[in-house]
Amino acid sequence: METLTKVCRDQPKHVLFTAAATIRILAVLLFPALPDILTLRAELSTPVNSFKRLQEGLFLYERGLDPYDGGIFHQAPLLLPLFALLPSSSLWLGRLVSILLYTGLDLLTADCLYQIAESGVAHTSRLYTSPRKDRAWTSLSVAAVHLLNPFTIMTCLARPTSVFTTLFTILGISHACQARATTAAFAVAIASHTSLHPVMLLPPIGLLCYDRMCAQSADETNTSEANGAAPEPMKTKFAVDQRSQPKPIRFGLQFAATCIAAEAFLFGLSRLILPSWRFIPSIYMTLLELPDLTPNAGLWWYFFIEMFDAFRSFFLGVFWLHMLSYSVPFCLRFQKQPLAAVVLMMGIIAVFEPYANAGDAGAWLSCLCLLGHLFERKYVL
Amino acid sequence: MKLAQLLVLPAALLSAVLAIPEYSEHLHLRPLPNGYLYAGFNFTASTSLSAYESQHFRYFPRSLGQILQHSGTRELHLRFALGRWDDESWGSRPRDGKREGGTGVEIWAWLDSGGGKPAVEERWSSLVNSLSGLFCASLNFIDRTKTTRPVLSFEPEGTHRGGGGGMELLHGTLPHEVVCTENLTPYLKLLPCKGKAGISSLLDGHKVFDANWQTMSIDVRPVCHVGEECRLEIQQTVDIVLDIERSMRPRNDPIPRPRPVEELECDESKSYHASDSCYPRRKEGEMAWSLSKIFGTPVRGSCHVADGDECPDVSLEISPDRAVEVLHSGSNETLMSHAQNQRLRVYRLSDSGKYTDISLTQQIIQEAPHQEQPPLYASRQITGFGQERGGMHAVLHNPHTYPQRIVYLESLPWFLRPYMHTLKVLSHPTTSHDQPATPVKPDKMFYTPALDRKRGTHLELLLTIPAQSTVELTYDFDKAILRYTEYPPDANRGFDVAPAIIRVLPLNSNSTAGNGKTQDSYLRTTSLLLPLPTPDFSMPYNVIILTSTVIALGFGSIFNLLVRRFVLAEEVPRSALAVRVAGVMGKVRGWVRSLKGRMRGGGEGGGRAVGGAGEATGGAGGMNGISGVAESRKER
Repeated sequence: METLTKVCRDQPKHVLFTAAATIRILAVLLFPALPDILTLRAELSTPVNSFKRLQEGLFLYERGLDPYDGGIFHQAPLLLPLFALLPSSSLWLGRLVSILLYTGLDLLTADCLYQIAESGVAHTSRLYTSPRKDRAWTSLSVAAVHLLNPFTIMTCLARPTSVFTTLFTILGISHACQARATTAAFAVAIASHTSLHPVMLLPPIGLLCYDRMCAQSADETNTSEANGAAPEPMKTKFAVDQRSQPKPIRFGLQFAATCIAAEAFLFGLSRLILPSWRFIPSIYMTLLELPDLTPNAGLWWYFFIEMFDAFRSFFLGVFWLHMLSYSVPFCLRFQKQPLAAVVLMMGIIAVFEPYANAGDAGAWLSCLCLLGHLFERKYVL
Repeated sequence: MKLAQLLVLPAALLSAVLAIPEYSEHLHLRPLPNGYLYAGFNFTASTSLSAYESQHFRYFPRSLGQILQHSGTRELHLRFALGRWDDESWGSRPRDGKREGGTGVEIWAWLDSGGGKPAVEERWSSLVNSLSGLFCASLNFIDRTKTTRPVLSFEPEGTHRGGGGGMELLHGTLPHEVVCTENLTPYLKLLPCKGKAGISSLLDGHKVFDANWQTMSIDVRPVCHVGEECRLEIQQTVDIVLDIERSMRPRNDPIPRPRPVEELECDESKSYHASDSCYPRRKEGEMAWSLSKIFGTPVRGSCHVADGDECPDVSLEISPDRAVEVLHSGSNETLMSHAQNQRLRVYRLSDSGKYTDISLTQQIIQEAPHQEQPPLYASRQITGFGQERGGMHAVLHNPHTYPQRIVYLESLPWFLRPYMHTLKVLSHPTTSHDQPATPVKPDKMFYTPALDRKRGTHLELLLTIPAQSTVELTYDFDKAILRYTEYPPDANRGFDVAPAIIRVLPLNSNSTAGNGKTQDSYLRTTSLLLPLPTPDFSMPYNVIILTSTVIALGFGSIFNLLVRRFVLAEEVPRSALAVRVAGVMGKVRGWVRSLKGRMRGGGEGGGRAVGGAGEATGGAGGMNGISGVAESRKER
């Protein structure tokens, strides 16, 4: 008992992660039918991320057919060889293995969130430090909110492939917080390869990464003054920065180019395992044109099942423009707090995306906890 | 007596003696158990290929021939069908199911494949559109979503040049089509006697479409015999199963009415028989009927138009003990009766006679009517509940003591999305119930997944059904939601799913010779009604307005927050313009007041001008959160 409390005190992160994994595995072992029931729920599985549709795509892929030559499968091709390695999910072993995989993904996502919270970017950026810095949530509680959120747990059991998108988006943010531009761009490219919208996160994540890079180069030049928060050192720092900082336009171009190169690489890799390029329209036109009107929890579905044909393309354009229109204004407005821009953009995507699902909403709620110091609250976590 | 042999019989007999006549017709009648009568009409016309190519038509219908020439059709099969063949009580299907169609309209054709896929699709479209006009059917609705290209299910019946190369098979179905009189009239127009004489004079829409099961078919194929010129043959068949009692309802009282209680025939041996309940008695013996009573008219004249047509016109397959009376208005000379088979009586209509009628009396015959067992029993259902998803469940039962190889073809509409990874084929032996089900692996599987609004699903399975066992075929599917405008006016009726087509392959001649059939046969399940989720059709404006409002509210508030700067009310600087406007206004006001004072005629209070304008500072921004204000101030 004492050792247990000691472990709890000394290694809270390990305890949390073990508890989260145990909940997920116990849920499968105690209720073996639960994953299949949740997989069929419209709130969790949409036409572009459903695990059942993935199985159908896998069925066609394993028989050498083009899985995109049909109206059912619209998910990223690189998932196919990955899931082909797992045992068939109609057996209990396969189900357990898939749950273990998704638990691993959840833990990785939580770890990335932990690191983002640890980096303190949420309240301290290069140009701005929040006066509520002390009220920021601990990294552990941010990770706990993610791991113990019922949305996340249900999503883990329902196994939609959008979990991969979430993981790579948050991985991208975490790398941006560590000023690793190349890996951040690569992670965002993977996320937008699996589903289109993380492309809209590119400007805010680029801004975040640029902010961190500037801060880092400033730190390097002023290591002696790193602890000083007085106005004079700030001024000198600013002066030094002007010379050693990376150029914003050059950085932006480099970041975008890395992302495009990574995307091209992923497309090439996908083409290698598939017989044709048909997967590009199958994945991205499904997101752009909303041809599959299977019910989901989003606004788009509700709107477009009753839309007159003549106005359909007009409103599709309006809805997409509406979503696109937030990305750059957020970057301009939250120039000094780039993480806030990223989190808000994720919120816009979770609410207004064409095939909205609970998993994306859950991931956004977890990210929102990174900005926990802004909430008015009585108690301290 | 095998029906297939019977139908081949007249042709086979004569081909040995004479050349095939250019036109012949035949009616086969067979009473079925429980007071039903099967009537199979067959009209065969042919023309030599050279005459066809030079557009010289005699008995071959010109209207159809020109359509076939224009669309490059090498072989055509067209079916109009209604009702269900009850193979549990009626036995095996007539003509081995080869002249039968699924409910609604079914068409398959081999077209010239020259010019690639677009050219073939163009020809197919031209064929179905022309036939649509010719037969007054909605065949023009067979578009790409309703067309499939089966691989194993069909083989050309005719002999084609080059061994059948250079042509492509396309297959389309319209399960929703209701076949009716307007399709029969153009169908009869294709015949040389146009339904005015010969056995075709019996075909009346009121009777044909009152049948329990009916199928009309048109088959055009090239036929080549050794040492003769190839001919193009058109075979038109109408197969109907009539309820004898219902068909003999008197013409002057065609409205179905409940029978008076006194006339009901009740089975009094049942324990629950009482004065107020009646269990209908099973009919004993054979019913009395005659052609004129069943079809409403006797056969008018004859249609012996072609040279060398010596075929019998009517054949009756009945017990040898039954008495048959043939009434006809002309001489008796050409009536011929065949004694080759006891159960079969064959008649030829007299050329001089005006009317011919065949009537049978009621008789109780001890001998149980011989029923040939069908090769396979098949049924198909939709399982599951709710509007989101369902499952397909097909049951194939092999009653024979030998295994059978079948091809199972399904063409599904695109809004039914099957999950093939859930496909399970399980076999249970029917002899013992305690044996567990064993999975059957399909020998071959052809699957073309559906593409939304572009292509339907095509599934073809080559299966072996073990002897005396039942094979169950199940898979899950999703029901798609259509767009608002894609629903038909009767959306809540549901959507028809075309019947599954099952081809029973002939057994290998060396394995179990004599046991099974040497020719393949077909059977079809009934069509299915798929209920799709339907939106509330009265709601589009509400939905559009509500959703637009939500989005506008979201966008508006976010835009408001983005463009606004949050500061405390007191630190809002007064804008230069406002100050200037206030100054001008003050001056104007002072001037007006001094003017007023002067008007009143006194110098008192002349200079009381107050610069009171521009007091509203900060406006809406002042309302917003103070915590934001604190932060934005620190930024600087």
